[in-house]
Amino acid sequence: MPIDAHLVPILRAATARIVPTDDLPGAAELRATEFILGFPEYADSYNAGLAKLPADFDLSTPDAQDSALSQLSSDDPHFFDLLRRQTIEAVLAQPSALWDAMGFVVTA
Amino acid sequence: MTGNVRLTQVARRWDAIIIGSGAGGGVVAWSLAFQGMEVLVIERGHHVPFSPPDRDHLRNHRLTQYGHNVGPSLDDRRGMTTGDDPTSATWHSPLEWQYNNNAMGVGGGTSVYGAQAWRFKPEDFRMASIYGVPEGSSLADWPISYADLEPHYIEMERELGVAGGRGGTQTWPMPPTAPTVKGQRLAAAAGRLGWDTQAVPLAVNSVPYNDRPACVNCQHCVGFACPVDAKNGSQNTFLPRAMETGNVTLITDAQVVHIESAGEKVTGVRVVQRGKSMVIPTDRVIVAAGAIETARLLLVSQIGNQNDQVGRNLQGHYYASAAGITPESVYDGVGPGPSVATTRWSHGNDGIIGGGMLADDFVLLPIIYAKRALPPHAPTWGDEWKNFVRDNYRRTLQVMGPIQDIPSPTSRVLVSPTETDAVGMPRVVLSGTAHPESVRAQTFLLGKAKQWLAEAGAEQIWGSPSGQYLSAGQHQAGTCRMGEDPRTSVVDPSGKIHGYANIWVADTSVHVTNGGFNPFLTAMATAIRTSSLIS
Ligand SMILES: Cc1cc2nc3c(=O)[nH]c(=O)nc-3n(C[C@H](O)[C@H](O)[C@H](O)COP(=O)(O)OP(=O)(O)OC[C@H]3O[C@@H](n4cnc5c(N)ncnc54)[C@H](O)[C@@H]3O)c2cc1C
Ligand code: SF4
Repeated sequence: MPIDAHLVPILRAATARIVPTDDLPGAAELRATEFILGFPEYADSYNAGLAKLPADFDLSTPDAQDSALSQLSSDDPHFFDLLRRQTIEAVLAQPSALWDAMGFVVTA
Repeated sequence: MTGNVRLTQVARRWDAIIIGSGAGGGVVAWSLAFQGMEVLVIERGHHVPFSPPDRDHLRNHRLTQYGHNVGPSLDDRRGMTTGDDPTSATWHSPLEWQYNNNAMGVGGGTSVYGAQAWRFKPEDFRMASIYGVPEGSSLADWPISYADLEPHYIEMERELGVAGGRGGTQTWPMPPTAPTVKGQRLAAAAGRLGWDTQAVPLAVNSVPYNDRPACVNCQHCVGFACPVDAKNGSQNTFLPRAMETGNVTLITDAQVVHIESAGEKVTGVRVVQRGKSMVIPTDRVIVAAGAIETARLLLVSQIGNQNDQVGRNLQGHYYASAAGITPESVYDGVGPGPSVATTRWSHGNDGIIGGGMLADDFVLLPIIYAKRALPPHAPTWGDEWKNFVRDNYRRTLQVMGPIQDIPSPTSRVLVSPTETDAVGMPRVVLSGTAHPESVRAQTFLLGKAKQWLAEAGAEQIWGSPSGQYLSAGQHQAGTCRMGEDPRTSVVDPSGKIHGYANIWVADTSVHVTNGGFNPFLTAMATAIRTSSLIS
C-alpha cells in the first residue's frame, strides 16, 4: 500500500519544515517527498504517523507547523525520526547547491 | 578477468582450490600459481565495476542505509544471540550491524576498503606474555613473531603497492598520499604534545605504480571502488597476476557449501552456481572466505572442530572516535583523507591492556557527516539544523582508531540447526559480546583522541565509549586461531588445520589477536607465509 493520496500534501509540508528553503534549496526543491514515496515498505508507518498531524497541517503557518512537528517528535519519536532521517537523506545524498555551500565538491 | 566461467568448465581435478578471493585468497592464488600449481579460485560474489564509478551515497559499503555496492544479497540473513543456543537467535539483514558484513565480491573486502595498510607491532603478537590473561578472555600470544612476518609484510607492501614514505624504522615503496589541511594541523599539534606521527600507510598509488595510474584524490575512497583504479586490492594485483600465469581459474557467483573429506584428507568441495550443484575434486583446499564464513564452512563440513574451537574468539575492533569543531575551515576535500597517525598509544599504557593507533578520517560524505559526525548538542531539523550543517561541515575535525580487542571464547560463530540460506547452507548465528577490557582501552584511547583535538584547536569536542556489543564487522577475525596446541587453536603455525593433511586457512580467521590496527595487511602477510609452507 502506498502513502494515502490525501496525506501527501501533509508529507510535503512537513518535509519542507524539516529542511526549509532559504537562499539554498530545501526539501521541496530537492524532492524529499518523491524520495520518500519511493519506499513503499515504509508507507504504513507514514500513513499512521502523518495522520497524527492536524488535518489542516499543510495549510497552517510555518510556526504552527513547527509546533505540530515538535509535538509529533515527543508523541511518536519513532515515526518522527523516520520522517526526519529520510528527509535529510533526500536532501544531502545528492549533488545540490547545499553541497556547494557546505564546501563538498566532487573532483573526480 | 572474465566472470562467466561455468561449473561445467571447471569440473576436473585441481592441485588446489581456494575458497574466497579477498585479502587472503588473492595472495595464495598468486603464490601457488608461481609454484606451478593448477588452481581454482571460487568466489561467491561477482566483479565490482570501476566504471562508471558507483556514487550512491545511501548504498555503499561506508553507509549501507538501503543497500550496498558489493554483496551479499539483501535477502540473506544472519542470526544474533547471546548464549550457545542458535535457535534463540534474532535475524538480521546485511544492512544491519548485527549481520557483521564485510564485503562479498571479487577482491572481497579489498575491492571497496579504505586500504589502510598497517603492520602490527611486535608487541601485538605477544599480548598474553606482556599483559597476562584477563579473566574471561582467551588472550594468547601468536605462535609466530613479528620477525617471522616482517619479510612477508615487506613483500606484500611491494607487490600490492603501499604509499607511506618513511615513518619510524619503516620505508614504504611509494611516497605518502597528498597531505591534507587536517593532517598538517594534527601533525603540528602532535608535535607540540611530543607525540610521534607518521603518514597513514595506504594501499593507494600516490604515484603511478605497477602499470596503473596515480590517485586523483577523489572524495569517494572508502566504501567505493576507485574511479581510476589507483586503489590496490586483490582484484587488481594478485588475482590478475595469478591468472596471467595461465595456472589459475576464477569462478564467480559460485558458493562453496561443503568441504568433502575422508579421514584426515579433504577430497573436494561442493559448489553451487546458478542453481546447479557439483563436487569438484582437489588435492588441497585453502579456506579464505573471511572470518565468519570460513568458520561457517568448517562447522558445516565438520572439519577441524575436534576440540570445539572453530568459530570461537570472534573479534573485530572497537574504535575510539572523537570529533571537534575548529574556529576556521580545515576542509580541503583531498582524498583519500587519512594522512596522519600516531602509534604513541599502541602499548605501554598504565593499567590498560594494549591500546591503539589514532589517525584522521576519510573525506566525509555530507550525508555521513549529518548522520554520524554532528555533536550531541546540534539541532536535529529545521533552519537551525540547516545552518549548523552548512557552517560546520568544513570545521569538523575527527580523530579515530582501532583498539586491541581482547578476545573471548564466548564470542563466536555458530550455525543454525534449522535455518538455511538460498542455496540450502545452514545460516550463521553470531553470539557473545566484547570483553570489558576492550571497553576500558577504548575509553582510554578516546581520552587521547580528545587531547589531540584540543591541542589542534578544536573548541567543542565530543565522543563517548560504545556500550558492550559483539565486535566483528569489517575487521572480523580470530575464528580459526593459529596455535601449537590443538586444544586451544584450529590451525597450526603454518596455517594448516590441526589433524588434517591438506587443508589450510588463509584469512583473518587465523589472527590470534587482531592488533591495534586495521587488519588486512597482516592477513596478507600471514597468507603469503602460509602459501610458502603449502606442499
Ligand atoms: C568499507 C571497508 C573498509 C575497510 N577498510 C580497511 C582498511 O582501511 N584497512 C584494513 O586493513 N582493512 C579494511 N577493511 C577490512 C578488510 O577488507 C578485511 O580485513 C579483509 O578484506 C579481510 O580479508 P579476508 O581474506 O579475511 O576476507 P575477505 O576479504 O572478506 O574475503 C573473503 C571472500 O570470500 C568469499 N566467500 C565467503 N564465503 C564463500 C563461500 N562459501 N564460497 C565462495 N566464496 C566465499 C567472500 O565473498 C569474499 O570475497 C575494510 C573493509 C570494508 C568493507
Ligand atoms: S582517493 Fe584516490 S585511490 Fe581513493 S578512490 Fe579516490 S582516486 Fe582512488
